[in-house]
Parts: sequence; structure tokens; C-alpha cells
Amino acid sequence: MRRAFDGMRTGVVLALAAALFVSLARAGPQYPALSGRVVDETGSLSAATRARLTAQLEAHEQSTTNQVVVAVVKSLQGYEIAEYGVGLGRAWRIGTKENNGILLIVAPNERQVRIEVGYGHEGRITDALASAIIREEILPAFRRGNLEEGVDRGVTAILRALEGTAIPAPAQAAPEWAAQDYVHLLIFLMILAVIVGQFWRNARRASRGWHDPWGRRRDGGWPGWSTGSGGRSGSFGGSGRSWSGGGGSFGGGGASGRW
Amino acid sequence: MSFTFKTLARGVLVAALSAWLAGCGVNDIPAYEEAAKAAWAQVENQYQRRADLVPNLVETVRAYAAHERETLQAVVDARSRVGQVQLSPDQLSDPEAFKRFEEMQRGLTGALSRLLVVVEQYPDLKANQNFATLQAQLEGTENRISVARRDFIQAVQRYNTELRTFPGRIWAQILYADARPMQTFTSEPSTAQAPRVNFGTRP
Repeated sequence: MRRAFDGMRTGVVLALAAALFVSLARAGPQYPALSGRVVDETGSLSAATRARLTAQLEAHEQSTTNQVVVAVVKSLQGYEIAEYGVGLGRAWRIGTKENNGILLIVAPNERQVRIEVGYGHEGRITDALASAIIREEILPAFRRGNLEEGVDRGVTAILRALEGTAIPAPAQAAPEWAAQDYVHLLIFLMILAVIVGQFWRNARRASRGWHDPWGRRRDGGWPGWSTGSGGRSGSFGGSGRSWSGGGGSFGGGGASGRW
Repeated sequence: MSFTFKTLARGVLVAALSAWLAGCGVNDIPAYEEAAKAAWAQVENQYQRRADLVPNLVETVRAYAAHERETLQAVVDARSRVGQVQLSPDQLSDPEAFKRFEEMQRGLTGALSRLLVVVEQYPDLKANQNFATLQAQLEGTENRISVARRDFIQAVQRYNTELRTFPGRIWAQILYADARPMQTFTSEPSTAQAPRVNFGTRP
């Protein structure tokens, strides 16, 4: 079984290399913190406008569960606004599990704007519609130098397009384990036990003297207990005092514009 | 009585063992493989979406720029070639098939971007509402393609890494002998593909 050990050594080296690679690959843009439904890094919106937009967006979320967020960002950090937008939406996890998040991203310093549409609303806010909203509602005001008006009209148009998209209260929000699920689990475990037992026996037979790392039993105790670390991202939409994204994702839907 | 207790104890033992194994990542290889295949489905989906836009786009452009016959024909040809090359998830570990698929798609990307450069010379066409809509759709689709490609690259990277690194490598030898590393896109679309379609939004 020397091969397995050689494999392990190579594996460790590769794992280290992979860790380095992953950490390099992760180096993306730095996103601002999600401080609320209206994030204004540049101070382009007045406090009154911010409060009004926040109230508007909050009311909309309460009646439809759609999460719409306005982000005025200082810098796109050299990224395309489309790439930045998807990354921001995913980092903030805007939208519920229905992926019904929408972002209006304004980068005044780069003079670019984008409507980023979550997977769930790509059918309603199509790229063409997003583009039309940008061209007809947002850009004219931006070109006049009136950022507030453009954002305002953009949000209004987005919310209008989303009218009547209330998603019925999710019945599947908290998956309860039924008795039948336990039965399935039990059956699964039994089958697994047979398979594992089989390969265990085979491995023993094939390689005399090789100890499975998990095969060592000491005084009936378990050599170790490792809990699963690959947990899925939990959902935490809506509840709690401070507002946060609900786990929605984005696939690049939407449109961009420049002024 | 002691028999039932023994059975029960064995059951608990098996349950504990399974949970422990799951913690060890025994399921990671198939899980990552499925994730990569799902990401691939998204890539294909978006490429298909682009191909579906082409006939409409060609018709619209032809109405205004009929004598750009060559450029239009190149797009039509590239699109029909793309339609002939399908890549099923099982072929993802086949370098030849993968390369062919990517080349065809790149061909369409190039033809489309040449068409859109030509189109710049036709102000009437650019002012056309239908064309503006198509442009927005095409631009959005190109963007979705690049997102899908990025996601696919990441998913394949995770799967391939799992196959080659420590716990996964062992599991692959024992349980998943047929698992092969998958091919992935060699470069980001921004470098491999022609310039982005981004007009109509400029003044």
C-alpha cells in the first residue's frame, strides 16, 4: 500500500498548492458593507431621499418579499460593472431563496449604472426592460447631473415592473423531517454499511497489514469524530432586527449603462 | 434480548460510522461532480440562449444593412456550426470534444462582434427600437455567459482539486474509480472572446 502513502504525500502538497491557488482566485473586488436597503458610499443621496427610498423598498419587500437594494459605490475597482454587480449581489445575498433580489448599482465616479436582476426575476425584468429603464428613466437625469432624481425614477420603475409579484408565503420554508424520511435514512445507512463493509473487507484482504485510519478501534472507543464541515449556507431572510440578504443569487441578468 | 440489543448497538454503530464518513468527505466527489455538471448545464443554456437570439438579430440588421451580406452570412454560418456541436455532461472530461465546443462558440462570438462593429455605421438601425431591444438581450446574454463560465470554472476547479488532493484522492481510488478530471475553460471570456458588445447605452 505504499502507493496510497505516496498518494497521500502528493495529496498534501497538492492541497497546499490548491489552498494557495484558491486564496489567489478569491481576490476579487472589496465590497462595501450592506448597511441597509440603500447603501451610499459617496454621499450622493440626501438623508431624506435615503430614508424615503428605504421606506419604499421596505414596504415593497413586506408585500412581495422582493429585496430591492440601491448601492451607490465609490469605485468599481477596475472591474466591469456587470462583473462587480453579480459579485456584489452574491456577496450580499440579496433576495430570498426565490432569488428575487434586484440591485440598482450606481458608480458616479466611473459614470456607470447597472440594474442587476436575480435569477428569479429574469423573466419579469428582462434585460431589454432593464435596459429601457436605464435609458429612459435613469440616464436622462444622470446626464443632467441629478443623481437623486435618476435613482428615484429608477427605483420607481423597478418597483412598478415588480408590481403583483407577491410570492405566496413559502410553505416549504422549514423542511420538517417526516417519519418517512427517517425510514429512508435508515435504509440508506444500512445499504451504506453493506458497501462500506464490503470494501473494507476487500481492502483488508488486498493489503495485509494495512490499517485504515478509521479502522483502528481502541477499547471499543471511536478514534475520532468529525462533524460535517460542508454545511450549506443557511437562510436567514427577514427575521432579526438588522436587515440582511436572504440568500438569493444572481446569474448576470440585467443591463448596464453609461453617462 | 441480548440479540436485539446487539442489533441495536450495531445499528447505532453503523449510523455513527456513516455520519463520520460523511464528515470525511466520502460524498464530496459525486457532490462536486454534480455541481460541476449543473454549472455546465447553465453554460450550455446561456450559449443556447445566444444562438436563439441570432436569427432575429440577423433579420433586423438585414432590413437596414442588406449589403453587409458577408458579415451577416458569417454570423449565420457560425450559428449553424454551433448548433451542430453539443457537449453532454459526460463528455466534459474529453479534451477534444471540449475544445471543439469552445472553438465553435468562439467562432460565433467573433462573427457577432464583427457584425456589431459594422452596425455602428447605420444610425437608422441603431435608432430602431427592436434593434435596441435585441442589443440589450445580446449584451445581457453575453454577460450571463461569462458569469456561467466563471461559475463553471470554479466548480470544475473544486471537483478536480478534490480528485487530486488528500481525502478525495483516497476516496476516488476506493469508490469512484470512474471519476475523471473535467476540462474547463482556459481563459476568462474577456480575453478569449472578442470585445464586449456595449453600445446603444452611450450617448
